[in-house]
Amino acid sequence: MIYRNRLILVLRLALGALVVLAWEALVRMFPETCDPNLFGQPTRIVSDFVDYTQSGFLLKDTVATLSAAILGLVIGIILGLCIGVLFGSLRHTYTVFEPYFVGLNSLPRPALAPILVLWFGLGLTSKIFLSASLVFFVVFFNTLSGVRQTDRSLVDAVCVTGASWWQVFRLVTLPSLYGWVFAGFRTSVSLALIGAVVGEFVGASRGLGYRMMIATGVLDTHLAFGILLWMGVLGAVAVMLGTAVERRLLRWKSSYQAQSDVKI
Amino acid sequence: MSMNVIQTRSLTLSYKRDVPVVLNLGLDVAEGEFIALLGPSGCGKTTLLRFLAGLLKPGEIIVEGQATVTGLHPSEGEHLRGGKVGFVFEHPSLLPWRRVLDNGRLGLDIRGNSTSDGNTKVQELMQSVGLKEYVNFYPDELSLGMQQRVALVRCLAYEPGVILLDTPFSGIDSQTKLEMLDLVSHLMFGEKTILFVTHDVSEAVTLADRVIVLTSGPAQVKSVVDVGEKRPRDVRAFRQSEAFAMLEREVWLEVLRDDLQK
Repeated sequence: MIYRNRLILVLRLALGALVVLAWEALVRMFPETCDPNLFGQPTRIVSDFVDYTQSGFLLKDTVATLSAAILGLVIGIILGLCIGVLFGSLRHTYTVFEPYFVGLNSLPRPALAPILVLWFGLGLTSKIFLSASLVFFVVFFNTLSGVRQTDRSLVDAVCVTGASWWQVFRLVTLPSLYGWVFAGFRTSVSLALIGAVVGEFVGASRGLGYRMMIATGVLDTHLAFGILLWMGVLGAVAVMLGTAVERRLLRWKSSYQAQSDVKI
Repeated sequence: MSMNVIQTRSLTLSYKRDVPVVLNLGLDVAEGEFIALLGPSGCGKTTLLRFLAGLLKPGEIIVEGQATVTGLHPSEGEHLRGGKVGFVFEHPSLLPWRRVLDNGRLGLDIRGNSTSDGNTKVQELMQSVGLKEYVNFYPDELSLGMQQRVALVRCLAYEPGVILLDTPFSGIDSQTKLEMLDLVSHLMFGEKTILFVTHDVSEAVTLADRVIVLTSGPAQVKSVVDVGEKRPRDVRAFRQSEAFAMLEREVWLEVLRDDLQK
């Protein structure tokens, strides 16, 4: 198993290196067709990104974008969970609200960015709202399905011991929801980042999205590519952290149990 | 004479009007009795048990006639809140995110009883059902028979006076079933009142004081057979006895009476 994991790691790195080498070679060999000012050049991307890092702006911009994304993610998850649980429990009430939730979810959320900037200004708040609005619906609909599909036999097993509504919720409904919420967690992380960056595109004074807009505005494609790759790294790390939390919370599921899992 | 812990009078249960699942059922179960309700699959015996347990809410089922469990009407769920009723389902229905010991403790946790006495009680029960080494396992890591034994512990740990058993041995291999019958016989006697629903004649005769044979839906009492063997029983020895064979034959004759008359 260790050998297999190492082999996969080596192959992954080799694949990445191959793409970068091919990119560099194409730009160098065919500069007229593959204009480095349009398509970027890996070596210059690295050097521009190093300059950006040394200037201290990378840290400030990353903090700004991540703050908006994380706060948006947290707010979106909390609201999505609470309102999802509420409407999941009140089935008849939800049928009244359903078309409005579906309609709001169908709105192209990035189109809200200018309005949010108008309402909340160029600061962090408008980005947090945009991120939260994207995350909310993923979590809300997953929670709604989770509450509705809570295993009736487990609820009965707890009810028959004399549990109150709150105890049924705490002992059965909530743990059942973890799987549903985490099913949408990876998507939510990406959406939170998208919300923050799109908000910065529309109007901001700092942040990775704002810096990308400035870079493309002055045709600094290399820095724009560097920031794009950096955002990819941040997203991947966030998803990996989420997966680790998921494994911890769902360790009871057979699929997460030790590889030596033995059924007696 | 001991009081009736479970009592029904002309009880009719229907999910849809004019389509009864249980019809005019009269049932008296005295304190300390072990009653087996024997009927074919789909005859309404599980509905009856779920109703008596308070698991069918008003609106889910139409109730006519009278029913009381420990003197309380089952639909109101008061008998559940008092922890007077225990239920072992057909499937173990263990909470998959709680370890075996925590599943056993469920009823105690719900009552806020986290005392060492309660813990010791659960540990002892785990030992008596042969699961002492598995208390830190998750339910998914155990076989169905072991999971059902945890469900027995969960039911017994908070010491309910009335225990409802809904075909708890179905889907379990015969060897494990024999062990579980032995456990039930030795763990559920004395003041505990048991209503055991099954479609297996030998299970019913093995465990019960009285076997009530039901019609094949809607459930009505067809006949009652007294087993007359004191409990707790040595299940293995009893099943090999002449008396057991005769009782089993008698119950089978009651089950097949209508067919034989035809």
